[in-house]
Amino acid sequence: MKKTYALRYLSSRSGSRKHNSTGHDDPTRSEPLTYEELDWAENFPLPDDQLLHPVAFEDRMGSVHFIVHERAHITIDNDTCKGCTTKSCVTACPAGLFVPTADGGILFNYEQCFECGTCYMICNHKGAISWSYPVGGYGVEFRYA
Amino acid sequence: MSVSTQAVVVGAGPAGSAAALVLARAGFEVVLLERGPYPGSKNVYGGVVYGRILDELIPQWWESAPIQRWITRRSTVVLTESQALSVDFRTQRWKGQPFNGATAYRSEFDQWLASQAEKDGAKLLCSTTAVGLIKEGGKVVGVRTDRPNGELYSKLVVACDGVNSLLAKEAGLYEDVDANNFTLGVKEVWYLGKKEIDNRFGLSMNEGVDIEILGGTNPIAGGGFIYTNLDTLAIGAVLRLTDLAASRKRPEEIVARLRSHPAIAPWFLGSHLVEYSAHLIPEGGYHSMPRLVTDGLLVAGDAAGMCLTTGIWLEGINYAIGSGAIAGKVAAAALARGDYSSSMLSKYETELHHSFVLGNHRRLRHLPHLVLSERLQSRYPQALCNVVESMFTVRDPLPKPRLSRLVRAELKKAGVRGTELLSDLLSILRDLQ
Repeated sequence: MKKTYALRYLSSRSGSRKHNSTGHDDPTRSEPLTYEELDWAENFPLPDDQLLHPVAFEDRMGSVHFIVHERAHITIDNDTCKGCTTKSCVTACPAGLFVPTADGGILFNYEQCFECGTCYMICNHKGAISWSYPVGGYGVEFRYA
Repeated sequence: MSVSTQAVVVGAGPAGSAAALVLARAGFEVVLLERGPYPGSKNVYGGVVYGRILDELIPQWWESAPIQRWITRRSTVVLTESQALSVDFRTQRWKGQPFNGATAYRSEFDQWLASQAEKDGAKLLCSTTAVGLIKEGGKVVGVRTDRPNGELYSKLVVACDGVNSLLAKEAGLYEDVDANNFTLGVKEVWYLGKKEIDNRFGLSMNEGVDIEILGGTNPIAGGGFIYTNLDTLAIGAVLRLTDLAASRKRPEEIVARLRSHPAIAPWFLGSHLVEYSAHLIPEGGYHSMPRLVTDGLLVAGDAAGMCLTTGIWLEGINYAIGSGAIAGKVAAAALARGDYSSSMLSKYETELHHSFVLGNHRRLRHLPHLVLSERLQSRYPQALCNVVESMFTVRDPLPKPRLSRLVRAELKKAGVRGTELLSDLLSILRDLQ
């Protein structure tokens, strides 16, 4: 499998600026490629369409069991959020519960919370997130973790 | 209607159940609170329990513990985007008594451990969240729960309320919480079936494999893991919070990318996702721990930051059980003497220092920081894999490469200075010697 990737790498790079001079795609070249010419250090990322076994986010969240309480255990101060330019919570929350809104604020859904604590730990604004646990017996229920 | 008891343990994870078990066995009334509907329902870990610490608490524990597979094979893998270097170790010694590591689901393992404490007389109270401490004259004298009239008075409280430990924070035991000392563990469990797992990983009966991965989470400092359960595979990434936030990447995408690595993807062919989960891990080690006691309160397990994350050793449950058991022992001694002051309870810290818990943490205190450094995370893996690849790439009619020249060239290419390498090697040797 690795070889296939290596070959694809080489062919995708042939003719490109840096390696042109080495002529490694030149069939008349008699010297073998030197290791340095391969330049592995310049990592090639796997294209997104090649991610294997892709899972839609809804299916991912659908695999987790929740017992939802009517009262939110985490609340946010949207005025503070509106003034926040980083909004790290949007990308870092593993359950994707922080959704940016058109008015520059955040829409927060507590229902599918993992109760992990990432949001308040990475939040730049002290007090923007009021964090606590759900009422006893409610919230996430991991079965295979 | 408020209730009074001798000791309250908050959190029926491994630390809390161990503390409650020791207290109950010493003959004291102990209430073990759990906010989930059952112990383990809120908990996530990589996937391996090391049972040696249980030998004394629960003799022959392996006969009753809900184990998935016994680890007989341990691989350490260094990953770059396109390469993988494995050190693969197998031993038959770990497949029989007294065993070494095992995979288990927390929903089952934590319930089992709590039931052991119940057997000794601890009162387990599930679906009950401790929302705060009750204090009198600066001393902790119980916890407030979210049950109606849920004040629970006690002589002592043992806070085993996990990595976010709201109780230790409320008691002022954490001076400052630095997000750099925490990682987010993101985990997926995939169903594959026992036969396929046995075939793909070269296992038989209830043998299991533990694969620890360095690299593969770029540009976020962290690591990865793969564990075999009986008929499912667990795969996960551990991501430093500050890097995760700065990268603006989604955590589940990091895991998906790791799972798609050419060296990993074939293992997962034909499987389907059973559960996705995530949890914080206290990775800071010795330097990031809070104060461990105050009047009427002891802190143990993740709540005290006791996960050991030193690159080659990644352990948490045994440190939770170890610290919980010692907290229980000191709490029992305090109850026997009727002295709940922090000076009495400070025996807990002393005993931890004399045990493997803080003994190991203190000795290995420089490693957590080093493991998350950029050099360990990407520069060394890249250089190492390149050297190995070059050694095994046959380039006839050119002469075989000279190792010393190759190593120097690769380190240079990876941007590592000789002095940095030397200093990193010295700090590893200093901690491991």
